[in-house]
Amino acid sequence: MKSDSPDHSPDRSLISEVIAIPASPAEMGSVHDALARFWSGVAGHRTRAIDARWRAEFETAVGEIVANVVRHAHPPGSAPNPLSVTFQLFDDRIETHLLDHGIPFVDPGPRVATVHTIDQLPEGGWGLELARGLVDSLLYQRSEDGVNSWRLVKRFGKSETDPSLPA
Amino acid sequence: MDILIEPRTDGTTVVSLDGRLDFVTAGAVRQRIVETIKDGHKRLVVDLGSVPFIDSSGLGALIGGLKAARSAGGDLRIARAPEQTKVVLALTTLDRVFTTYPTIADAMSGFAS
Repeated sequence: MKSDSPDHSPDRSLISEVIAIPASPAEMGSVHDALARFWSGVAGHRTRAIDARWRAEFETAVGEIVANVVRHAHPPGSAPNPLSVTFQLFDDRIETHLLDHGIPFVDPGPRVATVHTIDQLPEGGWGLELARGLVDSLLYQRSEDGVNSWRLVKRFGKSETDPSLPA
Repeated sequence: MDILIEPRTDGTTVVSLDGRLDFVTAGAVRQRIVETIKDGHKRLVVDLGSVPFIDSSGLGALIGGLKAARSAGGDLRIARAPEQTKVVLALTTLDRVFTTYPTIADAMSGFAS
């Protein structure tokens, strides 16, 4: 789904990519495919390429939140509920919205990092913290009719928006 | 995720991964690495050159492998980490824990020294 308009406001997306899938581990490939399609569209809308590191940070955050929804919003043995993922490009940022009908998300809180030896390294449970550190805004809401909503916002940095810098 | 285990003549073993290393595949990868170490291969070079995406679960599998290798008196090193892997390692400060090498040969010679 694309919207091309020469007269756009900062709040109006330049392009968007939407997928609706069962919230299942088997569908992670579909999410990455959608991301790849989105980036192809982004390349066509920007004269300045987005830094590879910025893109890696964004995709890592998306992967962590989608994984969180697939793993925790749907109890084992239950049929995977529908999950919609929307990527939107704006002048100054990219937003990702996830909507699912699984169980409510409960924030486990930050993990205390007091690692002194290799054996103390945690092998999991810090994906959400990682995602938070990679984006400018990560918001979760639960509607009254049982819809979970995640919104990730990552703003372009100076190198992506300053026309005086070399492309 | 395809996993290829290749023991080399210098005593190192290359673990080549092909595919996303995420919460879907992390368990199998960790198990395979641990089994490889139990088989006596404790100097591991994990080739991430064909891993387009890694998440915290995938990194957890590598941490588990590193712990197992060190417990066995060996080590686990990473070769050909793509940009996205480097970002995750840096943001988690695990780039201070994992030694990464630009090529498999560099990682293997690192063991020799």
